[in-house]
Amino acid sequence: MKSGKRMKGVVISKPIMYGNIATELLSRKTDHTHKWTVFLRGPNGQDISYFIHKVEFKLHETFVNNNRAFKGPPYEVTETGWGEFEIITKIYFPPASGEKPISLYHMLKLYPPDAPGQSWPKGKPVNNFFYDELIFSEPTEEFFEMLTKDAGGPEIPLKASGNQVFSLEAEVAECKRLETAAVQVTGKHDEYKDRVRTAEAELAILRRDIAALESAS
Amino acid sequence: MAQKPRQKAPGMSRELTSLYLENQSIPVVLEQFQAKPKFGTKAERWVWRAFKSSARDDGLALHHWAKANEEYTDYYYARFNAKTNPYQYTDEEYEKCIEPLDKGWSRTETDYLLHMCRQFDLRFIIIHDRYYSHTDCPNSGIESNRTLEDLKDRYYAIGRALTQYRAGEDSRDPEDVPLQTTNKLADDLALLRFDKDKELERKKYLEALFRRTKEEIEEEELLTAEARRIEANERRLVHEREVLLQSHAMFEEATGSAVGPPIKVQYAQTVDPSLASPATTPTAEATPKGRKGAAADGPGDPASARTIKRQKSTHGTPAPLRVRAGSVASRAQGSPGVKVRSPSVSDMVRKSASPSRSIAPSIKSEQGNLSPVFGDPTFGTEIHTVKPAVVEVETAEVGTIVVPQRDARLGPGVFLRSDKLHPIPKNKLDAVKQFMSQLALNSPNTIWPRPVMATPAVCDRFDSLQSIIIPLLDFKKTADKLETEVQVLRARKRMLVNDIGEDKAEEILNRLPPVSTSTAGARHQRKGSSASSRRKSRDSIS
Repeated sequence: MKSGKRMKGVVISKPIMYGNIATELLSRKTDHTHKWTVFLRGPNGQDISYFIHKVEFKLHETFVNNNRAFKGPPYEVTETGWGEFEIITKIYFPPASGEKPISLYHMLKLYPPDAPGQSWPKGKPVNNFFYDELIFSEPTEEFFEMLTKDAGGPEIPLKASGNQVFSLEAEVAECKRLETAAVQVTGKHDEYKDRVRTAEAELAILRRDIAALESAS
Repeated sequence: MAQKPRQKAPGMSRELTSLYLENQSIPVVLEQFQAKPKFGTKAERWVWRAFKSSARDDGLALHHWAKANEEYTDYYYARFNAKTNPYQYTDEEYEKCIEPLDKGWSRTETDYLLHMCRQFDLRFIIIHDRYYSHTDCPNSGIESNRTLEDLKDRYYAIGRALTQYRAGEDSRDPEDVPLQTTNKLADDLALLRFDKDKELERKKYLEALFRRTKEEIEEEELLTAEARRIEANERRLVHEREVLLQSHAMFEEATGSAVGPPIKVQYAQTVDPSLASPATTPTAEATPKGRKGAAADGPGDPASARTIKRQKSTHGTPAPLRVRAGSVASRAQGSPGVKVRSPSVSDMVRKSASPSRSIAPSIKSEQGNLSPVFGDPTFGTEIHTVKPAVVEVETAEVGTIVVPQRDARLGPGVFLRSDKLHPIPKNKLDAVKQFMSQLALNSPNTIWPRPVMATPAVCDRFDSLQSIIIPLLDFKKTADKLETEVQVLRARKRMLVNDIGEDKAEEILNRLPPVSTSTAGARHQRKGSSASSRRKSRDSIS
């Protein structure tokens, strides 16, 4: 019997990927310099529509119809322009879930990053991807059924390929990096601790000496 | 000033305009003639008169102007002729209570002293000055070296003894005496207190104070200023010190100085959804929980030493191997020094009613993790260890489920995992971001630090890293501050040495006792050294 009761203690997370791809327009008919696509999809290109009811991309107000809504995949907006602005991606969930929509914020990135000494080859697209996970905490039973439906394949690819840049390999690599960083930080911490201690000791000696010298002078 | 109508005829000046327009009145102050005031009474007659004063005992008549019709009673200022009355004792009283007091005083001398007191109105300075040169000074029976304090001492001793004796002699019925009177004795005696030694010392100090040299005065001023400054900053310094120590403690906690007995957990391929799979393996012990609690506790708030303890107690349920759904098979690799415990959950899974489905990573609740606190990378193959801190949650269907603490505190609803990182205080935001970027950990183009790939495993590690960077930055700041102070003091010392001369300076420094170093003791050292220098200066006075 499906009820709207929330399942306590149940936490389900779904990985998603969003962001934009921008390519420089080589023939400039207007003052638009780039063609860009902002999107929301699964990291492995799989279907995410089974738990998403609607996606709204809110663009800059200078765009016509700047609120672009999609009821089904692909959740993408392709436009041309010259400016970088904040895009709000609002994800609505099926009414059965009783969940409020959630917004993602990111900057539309058109221009390649400043890499001194290197120049960005013309025509190479600029990728600005973000990985995140939607955490569904205490979903209703109905929603739970929807969420646990077969996604048709692993949600995160094992290796990165093409535009699926977020992979399990990448995850492990990042974990490793974070761990080495943690070790480094701990090391530095000890270093600073020692510095503080030696400084304090020297301060004590210096103060005593100065006091003695002052009283004698 | 009265308002002038604004008809400005061109070519005319302001003054002319005002004169020309007749309805203006010009204010002028007239000389008022002051008449002599009339009183209505006749003048009085004053007389040059002689007068006597009751304050005088020689009958001298001086003269002054006085009103003729006024009666003269007494000289106006005679009321100010206050007289003291030093003690008068009878022979009997003397023998009974005064003589036993001090054998060094003879009857003659005591009488002489009191005579002087009466003569000079208890002005001991004069009494002392004229003690031996007064005409009434006895020729014999008098000690020759009476100091001012001696005289005073003797006088007050007499006073006490007499008061005591006389109060005791009171023939009134003790029952009758109202309460006031009984206390009066204590009050009177208190008034006559005189401690010769204390007086001598007090005078010695006053003398020393008066005779301070200019250098000593300056030194004392410097010391008091320094003491005042220390006290003003004391609260702040103490607080800073505590903050540092606590962040240090927190830091040690967060970096997992103790690794609990880990539990091998591997992410299951087939998970039974109906068993609400967030429950996986049980917790390690209270320590990781405590640590997680500490790390989860607000934006790296170092003042959470107490919170650490609190967390430990609330989530303090330790190891009982409460194993639930989420099938777990152990894959046998361990990081060195890690125990292996393979919970047999697979039977749990088999017991479940609904058919299992291959869900793959969709339900990624909490799997085993890396070093004490972290979530495992999804499908993490090589590394397993301990469960993160968990919390028991009661549910109807499955009894108690064990859920990682980080997710247990979510309410119902949808969230983004990257939003669930601990917020950093604004003033540290940039510093932390920069630090992270230097280590190439930060996702670019974001306002606040976030990892590139926000999976639970990564987020755990990122969060904990964040929480140890903050105390590190604090430490760095303190280290820098202290080191600049060291530089400043070094320069000052060099200057002083130059002023004094190198040899003499070296001699002085060699004579000093060594400074014992202790980390928390720096402040005490400072106090110690200033106290010793103060002592030195005091010695030079006396």
